[in-house]
Amino acid sequence: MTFNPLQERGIPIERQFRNWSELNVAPYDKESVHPFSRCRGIVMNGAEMEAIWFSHNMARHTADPQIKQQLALVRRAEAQQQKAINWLIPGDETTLEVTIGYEQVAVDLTAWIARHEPDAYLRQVYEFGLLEDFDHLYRYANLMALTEGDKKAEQIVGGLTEITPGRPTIFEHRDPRDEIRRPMTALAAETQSVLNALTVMAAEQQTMNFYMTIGNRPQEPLARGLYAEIAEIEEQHVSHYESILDPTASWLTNLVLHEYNECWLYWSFMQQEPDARVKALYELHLNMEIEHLRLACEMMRQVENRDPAEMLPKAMTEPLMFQDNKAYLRQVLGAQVDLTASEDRFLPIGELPRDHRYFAYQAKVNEGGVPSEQVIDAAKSRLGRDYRFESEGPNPAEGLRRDDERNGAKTQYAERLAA
Amino acid sequence: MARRTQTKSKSRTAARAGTKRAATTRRKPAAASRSATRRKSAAPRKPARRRGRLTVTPAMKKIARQMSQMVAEQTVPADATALLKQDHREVESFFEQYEQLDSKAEKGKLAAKICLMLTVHAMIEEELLYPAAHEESEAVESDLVDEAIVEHASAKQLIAEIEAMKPGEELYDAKVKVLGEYVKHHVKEEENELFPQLQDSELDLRELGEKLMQRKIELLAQMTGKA
Repeated sequence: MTFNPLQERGIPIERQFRNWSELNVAPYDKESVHPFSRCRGIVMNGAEMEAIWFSHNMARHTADPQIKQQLALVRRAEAQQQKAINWLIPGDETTLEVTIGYEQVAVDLTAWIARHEPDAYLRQVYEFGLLEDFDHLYRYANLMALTEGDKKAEQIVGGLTEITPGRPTIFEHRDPRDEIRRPMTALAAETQSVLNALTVMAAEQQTMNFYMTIGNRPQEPLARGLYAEIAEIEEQHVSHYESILDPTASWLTNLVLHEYNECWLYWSFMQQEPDARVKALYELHLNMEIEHLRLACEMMRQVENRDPAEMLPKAMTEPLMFQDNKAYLRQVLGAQVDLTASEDRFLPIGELPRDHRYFAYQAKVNEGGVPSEQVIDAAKSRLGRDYRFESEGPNPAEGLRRDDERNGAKTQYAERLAA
Repeated sequence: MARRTQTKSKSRTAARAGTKRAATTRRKPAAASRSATRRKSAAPRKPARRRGRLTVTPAMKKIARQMSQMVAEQTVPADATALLKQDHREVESFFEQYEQLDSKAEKGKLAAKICLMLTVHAMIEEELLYPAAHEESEAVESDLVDEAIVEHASAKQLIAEIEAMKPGEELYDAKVKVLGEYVKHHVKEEENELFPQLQDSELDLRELGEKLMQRKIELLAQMTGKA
């Protein structure tokens, strides 16, 4: 099924506004919600947040009052979309349960994107980030085992995603300058590459915002520490992903691409959503996005005198899917756990020179104890062993298996940092 | 040379004026829709595709220039050598990628991208970087610049040959590979010799970087038809 949002008619902007009771949607039932349904909602909330902040930033760089008004009009509708989506999350879902959902998004969204990225360098960028978020899932799952005892993270992820160490969070802390990647050239890139980057960036940014905001809600010092530590990695990841976007794309190009991306996301999710009520919401929002895209295109024609159709594909063909990525993750984890980054390159930690700034940064932030390690130590001492959900066998990286299952094997990271 | 300098200074003024005009367009919605209709007739017609290549119309050129000027006004300018190094890393990764490919269609697509990016890269260096380097004769060895120009010529020859062929044809892969080797050699000389000399010269590398970026966008917009 192909779809070209440029040729569809959406809902006229002045008819898009909803009243308070329409916005205050009934939340899903946390016991019966499909895990990927939870994930889709988290992605769309992130995409709407990005749309809103992008529009605010554009408005701050726009002199024309008429254009500013137009941005405000669409932005208000987007702000309503954000409420309708994010208010699907029920109040009885704990912050930590939602967190597990966020990390499942970071894993299975990034995995799909990496598998569908036409550019090899960008694919490497996604695989690099993927293993880090995969590890966060394991750390938070252990926090859940410690603090919400009877609940298991595997129930939240519905057994669809494995929970086991990835690139250990302790080793993810790098000098900020080494998070800046090489940007794509949008004029020469495939549209899929642009959509991939916008989507993952929006998701990671929302994860960062979420942890920045709710990380101080727990009372336990360990939980607060873990949120603070992982929130800092999300800051790294936003730098990592935003740096692959083309810095030479104009504001209007970016606006059109943002709206096009939202069309792609709603179109994708509408097709997979099993909950009829949520599916209808996605369909409604798609019809709104078609209008937002039309208005952005019209703005581009007026201001830049360009036809946006020239830079967009004739049709969308492949929907973004939430699906099982276990085998793929195992393969990436087995091959890339020991990678690190230096400027825009990725290389095995063993090849990093002794005096690289990575080691200084590591020594600085990790010197007083590391929450992502402490949470595992606490699980081992209080629960007997760390919490894992390894449905497909032991961790593919021998050095990441449980102490009694790895025959003394170590990751290159562990060897290098111990030396 | 003289002609180019003139165009440059003209385009600077146009850049300011262009943005100003853009930023203050449309006072009333009615006027907006009227002038949109009016513009429709003057709007560039969709460029005709000829043997996979676009015919660049004057209107496309104008829009591409406007686009590049708008971008230049809103971006923190980059040092010219940093921008060019970034281009080098990008094309190197394309050559590495090419080695991994099996499918003819994918090879053809990637080779076309390599040729496009290299053509644009060579043009901006020849139009802007080398003339500027030549003027810095105290700090920059002119032999280096001359050699770079000759190296470009052989790369361009090879690019033309690749563009005239189809993937799977005899010597296609070999030509792409040799092009990659030319590029590797050229990159090494520029980054190890020419660029350090430029950095020691009086040249304003940030101003040059802005021009390079602008021209790159302009050329890419024209050559891909995305204008």
